[in-house]
Amino acid sequence: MIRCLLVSLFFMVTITVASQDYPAKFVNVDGWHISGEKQYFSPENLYDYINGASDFYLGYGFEDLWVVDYINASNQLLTLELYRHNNPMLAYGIYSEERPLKANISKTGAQGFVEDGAVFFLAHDYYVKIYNGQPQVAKNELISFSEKVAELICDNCALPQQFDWFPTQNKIDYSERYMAENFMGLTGFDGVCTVEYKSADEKVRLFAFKGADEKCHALMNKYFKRVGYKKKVKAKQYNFNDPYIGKVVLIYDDGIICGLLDAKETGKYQDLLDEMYSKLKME
Amino acid sequence: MKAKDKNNRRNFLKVTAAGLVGASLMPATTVEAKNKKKPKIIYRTLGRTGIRLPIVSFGAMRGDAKALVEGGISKGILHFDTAHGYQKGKNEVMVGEVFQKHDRDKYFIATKVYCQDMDRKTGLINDDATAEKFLEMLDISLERLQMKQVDLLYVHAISTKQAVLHPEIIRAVKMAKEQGKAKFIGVSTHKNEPEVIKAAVEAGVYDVVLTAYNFKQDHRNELKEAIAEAAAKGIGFVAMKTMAGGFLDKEKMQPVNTKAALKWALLDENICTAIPGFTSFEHLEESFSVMEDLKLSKKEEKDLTYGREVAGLFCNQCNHCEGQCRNDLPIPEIMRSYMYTYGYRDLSKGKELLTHMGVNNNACTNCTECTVTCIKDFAVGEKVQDICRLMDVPDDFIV
Repeated sequence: MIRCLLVSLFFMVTITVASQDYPAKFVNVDGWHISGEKQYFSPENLYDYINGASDFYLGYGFEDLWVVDYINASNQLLTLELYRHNNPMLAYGIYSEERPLKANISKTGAQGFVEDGAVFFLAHDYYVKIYNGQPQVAKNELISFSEKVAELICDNCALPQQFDWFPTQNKIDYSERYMAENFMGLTGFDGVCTVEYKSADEKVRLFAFKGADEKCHALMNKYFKRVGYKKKVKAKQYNFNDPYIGKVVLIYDDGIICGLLDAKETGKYQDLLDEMYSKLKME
Repeated sequence: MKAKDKNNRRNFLKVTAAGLVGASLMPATTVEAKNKKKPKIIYRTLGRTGIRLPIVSFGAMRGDAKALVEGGISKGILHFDTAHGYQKGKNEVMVGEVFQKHDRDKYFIATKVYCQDMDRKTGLINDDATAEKFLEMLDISLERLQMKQVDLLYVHAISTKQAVLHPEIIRAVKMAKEQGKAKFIGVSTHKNEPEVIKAAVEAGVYDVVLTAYNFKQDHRNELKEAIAEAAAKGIGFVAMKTMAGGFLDKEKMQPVNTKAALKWALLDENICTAIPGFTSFEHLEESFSVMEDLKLSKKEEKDLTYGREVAGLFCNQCNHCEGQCRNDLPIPEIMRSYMYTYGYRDLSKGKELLTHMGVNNNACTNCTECTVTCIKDFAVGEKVQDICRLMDVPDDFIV
């Protein structure tokens, strides 16, 4: 126990110390150099920078943020914001929360999107935002700078593989989300992947979670309690009429909880559910 | 998939079919019957708007928010709060989708629009700001919400008097009201709140202030007074950040007594309602239950007192003190060690950190006056000298 505490302390101390130094890899971005004061934000003062949105970032394991201006030889300025999260999946979570459904997607990092005067991208455990300054940089230079930053973070940045569980047919592009906490409003149902699908008259969501079976079992029990269902949890598919979220299909099996939400007629989506379940079992 | 897996799958599907029959659960009416117990709801009036709201409202931004908003509606919550900037607009879209399924007129929906020409560091609005730019953002918000009008429009995240009184902002919010895009207008603030509140009264156009308000704020007494003065002049108050971040420490080892924290804010009758950012149904139920008895129990009072003490010990690692110490001491780490020792009573952890940072028992030698200043007004020099004595304590004596 004491050894565990000491090990945890070691890691905690290491992270604490490291988090206060601007990561050396970002000091020199080819053709650009740092201008002015670097700003550092921790979970305690993130709201000073992004106000009310900080709660959202904290929910996705926000670790720290550096805000740094860079200038080039022509004295053009860019602002780099490096949001570092607890792990790549959490970084994906916050990135996907902010990625618009009709985003202008770019290949920067694992994936990114471009807006007027700004580039946003995901790279390993970083969610990166780069804003054009005054005087403005041409769009291609802004993107080139973004790619240089992405390369400093990871050589082969990739999207999380968990979304391979989901069927591709009728999938809504860029609807993949990672729910870091309390999915379906259920305390402890953390780390759930969801994807949206379209049919003629509605939009539905498939969701999937893999974890220790003990945890899955406990979550199922918690959900049963919420809806007032008194039977024992078994490995099978359940249909519920949730008082808050309507029709819910839940499949529980050893270490797996997956299912369907937002459908008027759940039966129409059984093939999708079966396909997802098979992939989850196979992995 | 292997043959064995196929068998499993076949079995699974059989069970599935049985499940669909056997576990096609109790009809919805039975389930809902369990939730029909009507909770006690306390209503207050939102200043001069005259709108009566339950004292618990809904900050719609975290968790699986769509499900939770539906949950909030079924509990009896009337006021829902979102913002233009949350999730780059997805939050407003989500709120809009939910209220398509409900009678819009029964609910009080607020959104917040940020002035893009405001300097984030200083909170000052620059000369490029125009009412038209602000209103363009409001139009986008209304489109996302699928609404022609919001009940309450806030100017988001204001921290200076200059921003509250900026002529273009005042012109913008007046136009929003005249054009019927917002029924009422307000400002939201979680920094320099007393200054913002006084300016909101002075401006004469704002109906509501959404303010950070919690038991842990160092300036809570000053804030309480500012709220009381403004409320007497008709400003309605909505409280946010009432849970003070949910935890007392960075490691999230010590949770805030959130129910007590919410009660603390709502015990101020000048606060019409609070907007906790619910993340689960348990959290929603717990917050709603404060209306059963708003009075703080002895334990709740004690928890809040303890929370304040820990907050007083807590260094937020903002790094502003970096480089200020003549002896080049790692001040944030020493402050953290101080918190471990006095806050958590964990001397071992405190000493480990000092040892790791190479701090000795006479770290302030040769200094007659401390050069380190702290944004939380910590007496840094005194705390350093105090905690460094820990290095004199033999490990065997530290349990």
